[in-house]
Amino acid sequence: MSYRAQIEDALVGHAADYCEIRIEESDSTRLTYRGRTLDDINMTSAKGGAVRVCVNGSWGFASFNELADLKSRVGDAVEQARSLASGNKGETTMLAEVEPHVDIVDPHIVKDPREIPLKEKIRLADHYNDIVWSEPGIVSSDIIYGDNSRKVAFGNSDGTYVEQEVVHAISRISAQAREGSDVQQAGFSIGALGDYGVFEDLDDDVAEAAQRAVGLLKAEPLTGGQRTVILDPILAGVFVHEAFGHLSEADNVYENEKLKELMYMGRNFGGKHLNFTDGAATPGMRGSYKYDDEGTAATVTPLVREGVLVGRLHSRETAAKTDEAPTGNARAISYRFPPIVRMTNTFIENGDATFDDLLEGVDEGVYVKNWYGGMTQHEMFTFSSGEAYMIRNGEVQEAVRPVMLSGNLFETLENVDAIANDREVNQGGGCGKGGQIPLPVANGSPHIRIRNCLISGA
Amino acid sequence: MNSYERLLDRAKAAHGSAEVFGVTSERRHVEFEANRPKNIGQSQSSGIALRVINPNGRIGFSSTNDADKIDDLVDRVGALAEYGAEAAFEFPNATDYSAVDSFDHSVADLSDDEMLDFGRTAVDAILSEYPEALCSVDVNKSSGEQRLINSSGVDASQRQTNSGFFMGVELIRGTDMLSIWDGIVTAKPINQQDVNNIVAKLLRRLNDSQNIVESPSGKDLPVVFSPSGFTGTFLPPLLSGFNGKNVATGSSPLIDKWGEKMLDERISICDNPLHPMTPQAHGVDDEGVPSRRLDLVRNGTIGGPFHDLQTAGETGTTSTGCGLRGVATTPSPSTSYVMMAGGETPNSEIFDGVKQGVLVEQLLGAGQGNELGGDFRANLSLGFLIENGEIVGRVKNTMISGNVYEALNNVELIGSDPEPVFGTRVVPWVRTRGVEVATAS
Repeated sequence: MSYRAQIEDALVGHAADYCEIRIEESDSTRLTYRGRTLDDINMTSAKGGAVRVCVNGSWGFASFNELADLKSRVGDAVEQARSLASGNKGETTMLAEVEPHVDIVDPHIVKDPREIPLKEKIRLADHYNDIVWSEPGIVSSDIIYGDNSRKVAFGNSDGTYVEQEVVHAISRISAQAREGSDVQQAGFSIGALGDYGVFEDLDDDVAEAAQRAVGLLKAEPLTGGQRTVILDPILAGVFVHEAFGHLSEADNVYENEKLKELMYMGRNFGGKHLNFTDGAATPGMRGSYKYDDEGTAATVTPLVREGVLVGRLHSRETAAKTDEAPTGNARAISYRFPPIVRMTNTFIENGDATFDDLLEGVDEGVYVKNWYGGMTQHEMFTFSSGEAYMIRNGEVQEAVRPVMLSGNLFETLENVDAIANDREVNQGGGCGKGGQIPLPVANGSPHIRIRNCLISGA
Repeated sequence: MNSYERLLDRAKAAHGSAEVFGVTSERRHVEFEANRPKNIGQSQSSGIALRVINPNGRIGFSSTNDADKIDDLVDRVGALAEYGAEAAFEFPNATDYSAVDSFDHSVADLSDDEMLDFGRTAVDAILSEYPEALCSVDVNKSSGEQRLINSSGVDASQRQTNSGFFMGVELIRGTDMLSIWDGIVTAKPINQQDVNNIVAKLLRRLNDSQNIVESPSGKDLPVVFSPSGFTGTFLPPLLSGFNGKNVATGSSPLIDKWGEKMLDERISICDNPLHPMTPQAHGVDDEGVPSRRLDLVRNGTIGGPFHDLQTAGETGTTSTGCGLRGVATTPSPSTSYVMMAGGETPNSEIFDGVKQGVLVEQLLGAGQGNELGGDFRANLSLGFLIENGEIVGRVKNTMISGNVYEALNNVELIGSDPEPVFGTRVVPWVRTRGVEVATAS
């Protein structure tokens, strides 16, 4: 029986207010180098399914990798949701109306990583590792190359049936240098939707990362405190994801009256140069798709226009409960998880300054580039640079040890005082929320300048 | 489970030596959102992995959870082994293992209603003191079985139960958002006392958070780490130095320091997978090597690394029984239950004599820096100002940074009574200097 027939059969007579079923097949390849050699090659295939139902506002969810008897899985989930609902009097199921779709979506492919022989992937990774090790002073390297494909068949009780397939390729390359017990590392992460080409032609980047790692041994650490910082497009992309994106996810807001009062539409967060956008309907990036994991069509959502909050990201439930339009941002990392509200491709739009304009206004500050990671807890966020350089009298000077930057939504955005016009996209990151990590996302931004930004010592 | 034997036999015939590892597990949980029950979920999963060492001494590995693809694994690992890492080990022989209690039948008896009641009583207890709070709760139970067989005769099966209670509380006042959390995981069924203990800890932190005060900054402040603050700040960078992978590649800063005193002499830290009824208790690791208690730091002196078979072989030693894995990944050196010894100062006296200092409870963004070098840095998502031996309020927009080897060499006091942290660590309160505190004015 086809997945469609299995799903449609199991949906018949489900006895919930809403029911959805996903069946998923995935294949992944991963090469991991540690030090001089290929430490691990892993090829994994997985198959599984999930059922999610809603009864009077209470949800039941079941995931499984034995696909037989979907109908009884549905029955179990309905029974669970019912028992939960019986203790939750007065609640009702509220889901925004979306148009049902029946569609089969082929993967976005530029250069299919599944068609590249394993031998070639290994040859190229070996080659990059050789470049790392040709740099004197390197004591170790970490190279990861991975690609995966995920094919999802989704059907729900509103009549949607969608089959979608996505293919991703990612890589992280880092080099470590050591002097006594001082170990420093430098590297970069990249990724692309359906394009093995992202892993090709990296010789210069790899050599530069290795040189940076060695150089960091000589770099001075900064003292922590408030400074003027200029963020490169990659780190500024992480900044918008952490500093603003997470609080745009409506599941943080929809049942939180106090937060709703703070994040009201029309609230001003800073200057007119602040324009933020998220959207999976922007094609060809790692956060792109046609339908989300509730079967809702993807959109592009303006979040901030001219400094003012104008939109946020929704699942069908959060849209209904806030009386806003659904945006198609309900995503699940695999069949093991229910869909939750997530970002997709998140951007700071171009301003009209140049990078030189940004530098010009800085007597002393720090130019921070590249990323290590970032995290958000409501209005507080931190993110880490992979590189840092002193700026004096408008000039980028010597490298210092990378720093962590920290801020507060209600203050830091006000302190963004200049935005350049040189937007770039970073697709090397994965987002984590509710145990679902790493979810493919893209972030992008031009260079931005922040006054009085708190940085840690290093 | 004769599919295990059949797979092993086929792999052995094709490749020489082989190992089959499989797990099955079930999990059920209830979740509260915004003070109300919201989701109930269950998951069933199983999977099987095959690892071989081919006649050229190279490793091949693959896994699947699709019963229809199990037979493909034999050919697939053969193809992968052509390019695989050189095995620095042989699959171990059968040997005797300590039996470690890790399974409790009564976990299965925890009903949805009981789990919901734990959530409700906890939410009610918080709301009775903080009516405007928003609580989220996850109460869960799981059970799993794993089996490892290899071509040298190992046949090791283990069962594990877990149950857990995890709670977060949010309080918003103006543009100030306070978010705190705590939880417990154990191999036993959680009980009302476990829940009450978590609630009491959360209430203590809420009570201490009522005033927001300015943090001092500088490099020579006394900084107190609660057990959870210590765990988040120091254990990841410290343990990365002991990890056999980092030792084998030469990137650990400890590779020429074994046996040297590098930390305060009151610090002793071990990993003890044999500790019964802990969430990852086991008598044998996931490669068939007997588990044992391993001293990582003893009286400030650096012991030795934790290894799996491969990293041990690469560094010319034997596995410490720390090869752990999920079904979809190859084993890697891992700790199970990290215990740090208590010191001489009663916990209640840890702030005594502090004129001005900071207490670190919860971090935001730890682990983004150069952990491998022992560096740590993070925003204090929950931190407090200590003045004249008392907590006087919560500090915000404050970051800490430093190096674990420096900070743990400047220890002032260690609390006498270590406390569990999320059920997988046991750590005392620690007061130290040598941590830089930076703050926004």
